[in-house]
Amino acid sequence: MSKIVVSNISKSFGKTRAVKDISFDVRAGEIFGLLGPNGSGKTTTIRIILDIYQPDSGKVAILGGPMTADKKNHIGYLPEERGLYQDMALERVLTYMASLKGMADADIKTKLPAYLEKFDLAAHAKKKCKELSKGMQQKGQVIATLIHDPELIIIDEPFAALDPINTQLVKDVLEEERDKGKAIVMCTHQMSQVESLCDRLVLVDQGRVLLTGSLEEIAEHYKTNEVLIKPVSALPASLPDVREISRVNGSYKLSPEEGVTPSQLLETLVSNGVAMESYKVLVPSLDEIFIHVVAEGKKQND
Amino acid sequence: MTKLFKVAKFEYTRNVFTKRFWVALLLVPLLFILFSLISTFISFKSVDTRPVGLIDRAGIITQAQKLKEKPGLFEIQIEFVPFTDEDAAKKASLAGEHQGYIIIPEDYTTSYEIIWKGNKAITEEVMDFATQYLSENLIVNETIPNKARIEEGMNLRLESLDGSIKSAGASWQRIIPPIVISMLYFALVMGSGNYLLQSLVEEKENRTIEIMLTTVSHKQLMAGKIIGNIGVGVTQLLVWAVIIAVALFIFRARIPLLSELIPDPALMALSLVLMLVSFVFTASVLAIFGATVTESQEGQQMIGLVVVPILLPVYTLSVFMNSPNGVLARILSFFPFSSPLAMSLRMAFTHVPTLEILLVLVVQVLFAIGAMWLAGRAFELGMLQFNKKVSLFKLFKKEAGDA
Repeated sequence: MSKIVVSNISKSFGKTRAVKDISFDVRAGEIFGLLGPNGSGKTTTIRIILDIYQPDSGKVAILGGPMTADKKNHIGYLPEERGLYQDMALERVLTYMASLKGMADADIKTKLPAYLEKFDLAAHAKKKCKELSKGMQQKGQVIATLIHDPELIIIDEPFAALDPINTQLVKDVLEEERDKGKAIVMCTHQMSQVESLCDRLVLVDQGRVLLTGSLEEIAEHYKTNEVLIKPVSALPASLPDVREISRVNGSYKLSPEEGVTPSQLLETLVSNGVAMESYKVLVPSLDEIFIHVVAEGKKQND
Repeated sequence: MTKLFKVAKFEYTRNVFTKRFWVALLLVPLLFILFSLISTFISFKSVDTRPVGLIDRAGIITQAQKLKEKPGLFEIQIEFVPFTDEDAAKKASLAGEHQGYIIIPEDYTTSYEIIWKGNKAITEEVMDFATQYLSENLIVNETIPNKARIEEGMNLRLESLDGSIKSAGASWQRIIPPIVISMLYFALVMGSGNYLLQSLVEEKENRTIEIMLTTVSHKQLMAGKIIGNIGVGVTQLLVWAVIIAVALFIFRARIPLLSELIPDPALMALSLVLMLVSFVFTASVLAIFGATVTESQEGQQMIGLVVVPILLPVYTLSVFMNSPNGVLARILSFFPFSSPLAMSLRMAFTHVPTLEILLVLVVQVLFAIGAMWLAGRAFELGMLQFNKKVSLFKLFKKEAGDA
């Protein structure tokens, strides 16, 4: 079941078109990556989804229909521009935020200490937020996003100020939430986190969708059939079915002719007596795909 | 509890349950005393020391006026010049040689009323000298039937020189209550208005606004903040009211002056209505500042822009005393920031036409509505602008914003 359905939304500010005909959907039980360079229209898209902005055209269905006051209680949002009330104790700020999400006082008293314990913040609960480190404040913000058990979680750069241990902690928590059937939208520039967490993604730039699909589909679409081999002895100057040979750190990258698959290439190498220590099919990283797609998009726009 | 009241409760408790709040609460009365001293000094420097004519129709002035040859540095002396002919006294006043003149009517010993004739209100100094001079003469006069009445002082009737304006006297007893109300208004703006401004700027500065806007609506957030911070202001006023009430209870019997305060119900009612309307205007202006600036330091600077015009009538108190229906006093009555103080002072010093009072009220309501509209617009456009100010010009544009 889709928790968010974005249908052909567009939004302009004055003469600037921030979002142009964007569509995608986010399903229950998945982590969905909303990716794009700075100024690509991600934040505007999220603000339209969350009813902060109204789209000029198109529509958004959230948790089965238009946004209502009650639905706001079932959404957890961690914006990129975020913070806590600096002059107040962490515990009091989180209690206030949880109560605004409709939680009963008794529930807050039960759940908040557990969350503080889980995020290793129990000893800092009474401290003013300004006395906490950036990472601690960020973990506090993650608690504020999750404590009311939202059906839909939207998080923008959730790992920005976290060390590797806390990054792993937040990743584990997000995976737990996904396994409970929550729909999670994650915006980040850290492609390694997208690769390890996201089930599907959409890539936007200059307000347009450049790419959408599951990680497997995208990898399949952008694969080049190139292989990386480490031969026992020197390679011949040319090989059948190979368009280009280049050296990469003591290994060789072979770019096959159009239509030649990696398995066909392996057969060719064996039949030509090339002995190898290793043979690896190269799959483009999400970073490379991101850079490639954004560059292509810019060329088309120019 | 609705989200609006949760926001209001949060805003209220976070301000009231702090040491800072209670320190400020007790410091403000001290600042008021300081302002009052400065204001008194300015008034002192502008006191009219011209002589006053005196027509004694009751025949009770038998003693010559005793004036000091060398008065002290800040001591003021008002000379009474006797006249037998009212036309001559009027002529001297119209020529500007005298401030005005006092008539002691034939029935003074039964009515205890004197008449002040002048084109501006009788000053406190003239009143003091007249009271003292009359008392000195009455005490030595063997024919006065009710000597005990002398201690209660005289009644005063005011008339302009052409006789077109007549009213009861504007004594300090009438002036003190509106001034106290005005000071409380100033404190309300400085207190809850300032808290509101800081609260809005803080949401941007701390980057909590976007989370808040996905939890509560714009209107709930703004209304909750306004209600919560007005609650803070009301708490301040109540605490001060209790302090004043306790002080009056303790000192009223010992200090006769306190027992003479005369709160005029009509004046108090108008002052309160004007204060309310003007506070809505001022709070809206502060909300505009809060929504359009990016740092609390800028917000603090903006407070100064509001404080100065609110206090304009205090800075120009002598103008209100000497010309309460003059051009400047009228301009300040219509100017939304200074309107409550200006109108309270004018009504204490002189008679203000009813039509003008109504016009001032209508204009203030229009200003308040306009400011609220602009505040809503500023909130909509400015609250998610974290790094740049929103220009006032942009508030009036049909389409504005940023990606």
